[in-house]
Amino acid sequence: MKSLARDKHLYLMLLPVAIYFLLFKYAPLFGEVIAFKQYRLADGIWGSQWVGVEQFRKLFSDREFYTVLRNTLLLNVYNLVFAFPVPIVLALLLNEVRWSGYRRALQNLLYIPHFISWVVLGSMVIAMLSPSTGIVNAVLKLAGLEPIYFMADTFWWPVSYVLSGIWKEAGFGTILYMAAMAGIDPTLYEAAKIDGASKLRRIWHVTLPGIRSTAAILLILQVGRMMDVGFEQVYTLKNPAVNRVAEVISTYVYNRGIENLQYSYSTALGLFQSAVALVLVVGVNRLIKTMGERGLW
Amino acid sequence: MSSNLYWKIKKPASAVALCMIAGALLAGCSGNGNNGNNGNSQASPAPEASSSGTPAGDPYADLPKKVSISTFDRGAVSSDEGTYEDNRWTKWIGEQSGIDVSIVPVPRNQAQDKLNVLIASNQAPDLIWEYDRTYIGKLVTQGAIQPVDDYIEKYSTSYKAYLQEHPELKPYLTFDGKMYAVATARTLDSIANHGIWIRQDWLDKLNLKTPTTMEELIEVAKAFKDGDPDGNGKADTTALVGSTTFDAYSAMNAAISNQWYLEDGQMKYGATLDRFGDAMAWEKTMYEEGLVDKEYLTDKNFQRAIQLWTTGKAGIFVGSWGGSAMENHIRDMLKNVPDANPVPLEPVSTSNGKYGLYQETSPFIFVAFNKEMGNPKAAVEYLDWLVDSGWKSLVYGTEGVHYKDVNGVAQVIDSEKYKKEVSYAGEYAVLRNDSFTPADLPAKAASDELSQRLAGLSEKGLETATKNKFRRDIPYQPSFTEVNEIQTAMKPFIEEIRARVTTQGASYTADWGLEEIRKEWQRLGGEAVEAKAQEWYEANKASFE
Repeated sequence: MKSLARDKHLYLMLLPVAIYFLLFKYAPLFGEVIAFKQYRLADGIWGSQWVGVEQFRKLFSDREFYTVLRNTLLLNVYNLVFAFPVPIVLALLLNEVRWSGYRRALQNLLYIPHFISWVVLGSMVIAMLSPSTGIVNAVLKLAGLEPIYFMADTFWWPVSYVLSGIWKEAGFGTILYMAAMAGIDPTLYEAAKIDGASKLRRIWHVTLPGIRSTAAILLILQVGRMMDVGFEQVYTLKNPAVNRVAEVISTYVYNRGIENLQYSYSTALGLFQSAVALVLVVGVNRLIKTMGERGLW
Repeated sequence: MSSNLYWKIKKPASAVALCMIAGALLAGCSGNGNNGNNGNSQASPAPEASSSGTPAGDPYADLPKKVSISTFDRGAVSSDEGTYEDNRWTKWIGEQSGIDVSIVPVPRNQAQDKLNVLIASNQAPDLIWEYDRTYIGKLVTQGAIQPVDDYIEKYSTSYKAYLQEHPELKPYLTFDGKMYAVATARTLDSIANHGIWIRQDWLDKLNLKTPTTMEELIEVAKAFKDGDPDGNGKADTTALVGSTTFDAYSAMNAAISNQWYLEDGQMKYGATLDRFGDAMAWEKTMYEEGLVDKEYLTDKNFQRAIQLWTTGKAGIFVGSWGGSAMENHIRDMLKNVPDANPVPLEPVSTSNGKYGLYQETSPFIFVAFNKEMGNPKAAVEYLDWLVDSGWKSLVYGTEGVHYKDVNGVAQVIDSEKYKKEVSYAGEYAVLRNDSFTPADLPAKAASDELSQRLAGLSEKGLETATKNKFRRDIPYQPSFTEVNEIQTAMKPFIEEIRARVTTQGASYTADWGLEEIRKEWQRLGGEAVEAKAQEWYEANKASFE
């Protein structure tokens, strides 16, 4: 209580943020009740008829739901395996570049794709991978190979998806790692050098442990998004030929909820998605803690 | 680039979030979004409940005359003209109609999505319109719009008279026994919706006859692909491209995937018919023989197709007939390839008979009344003004500036000026009392040679497009929750099966695809839906005559 009185100005400054969260993050949560209703626009949230778990029953008996769930998880697993380590490697490489002017130029170039919207990048990806006019297939043809219709092939589509994701986000992802590396005590490097450690050894024994906690936090966050594949990337890249591997929860919710007014059904799906995501985050957080790192909480 | 992605949701992971926002708004500021002056209890009383029709008791008589209306944003307003919300025509509407009209643009390619969001968040305009009757049906089911019979009865003069002259519109406007929208009749040029064009000069060069059957069309296409019709010594021509190719295959086989057909008096869903299998088989043949652009699956905005056609690298174009798009493509083509001679091609016959390409039903734009609307009287007055006189200037421009009257037909004076200053305003003319015959086209067009040639082509194209009847067994589609839900679920499935049949080689035949579609239809309870559709048909068939 005493501290409250003492820091009242600090709490006062916190107030707007707290109100923001209450108003825009917590109050709307009540809207989740429509997952248990048959929502009609005219009846509104309170007026709509209660249907219990009917929407969930429908959801779990819908075959498409399982396809969508599988795709969402698979694409995220691919991202976790292939895309997650890329910024770390990239940051390590950048960190070893001694000439700072060159490094900065390189970093800026790497950041650029992050600021371009998927609508634009998606069209570029489709154009680059086009079997007739795309540069990738031009190279394949020069090498004497058959051109591949990457975007319409159920094997190549996820590959294109992951690689285009790396293209856009890997560079920007290095920022946190670079910051963590800048925070490593330089005397550690000096000591390692005096002890005769090679460059690779120094990376292995000094740099990597230095960014371990950052990587752990980012891993937790990534797993927290396990149930959530960004809408824009998939929406711009997918086409009917690859629906089977490309339709994910977010595009499915968009299709059912926004385009076809099945609000309750898509809310039920959203609620299910959040529940699973919560379990995943808690689980990974615990795992990270048992491995001796600091978790999120 | 991808203009159909112009509007998208920021955090689309959740319709949830949207609904929640909607909820917050419902509670917070109900009804204020569209007409700031009217958050009180007058929002939506049924007129008969409030008075017996005397002006004194009219709840709307003293309200400010304000109406908001949705509009399709096709990106056609140039920056020096202003925006869809604010330009010379919106000002003109305000001055001429005496009603404070505000325009709420929604992106054309995602109009329904955007309208849905606006409605859910209580920000929808007073008047909501679409070409798609099924969409209006969904809004009725959702209770988002209100019946208009009483408003028309009480406040309308011009539209009431128009409707009496066009009783054929009434069934289309009626849902569950009440009238939920107003619309005027389409003229012939907007009834014809799709068309096929073929390069006559290529046919002549290769000594080919105009194809009349599917087999002949395929043969011609093969010759177009291999015969070097553009004479540059390279095998760089594509036989058939377009934006509505599969619609055309389906229509010529009389099996549009999401349309209901009467088979021996029984309601059947288009995609489950044998004829739909034939359409898929045709698409597969075209693809496997290399007669179409192999990348059309990723050609989302048909940029490749249009480019191939306008640069003279494609022999047959299948696309929307309507509007100026077709004429513009041909205009571009004639610039690139002055010797080209594109002519309309009549739909070919298939093993299932001879049918026309997709054609619209009579009603033009369905204008519905938002349930939360502030002043229905002003809305009706605005619509009356439109159908009375307003539409003409919005469609043709100002007399003496944009058009001159030639024997009752409005002739464009300068097509460039018209395109820039007037063409977008047609978007506001949601009700029109227009008349049209194909012969008007040359009279309407600007007098320069190219415009006249294009008008001549359009006239011929229109005659060709309407020569054969598009098969439509029932005038409009059944609309109830079960139908909507199964159609929603089937749509991506059908698209995917089609893509697999087309692209994945010999083991994925059209028969296999049809079998898969039928299985999925069964699994989703298609039989029960068919029974309900049958019930609906029996109950309504008297009004279909």
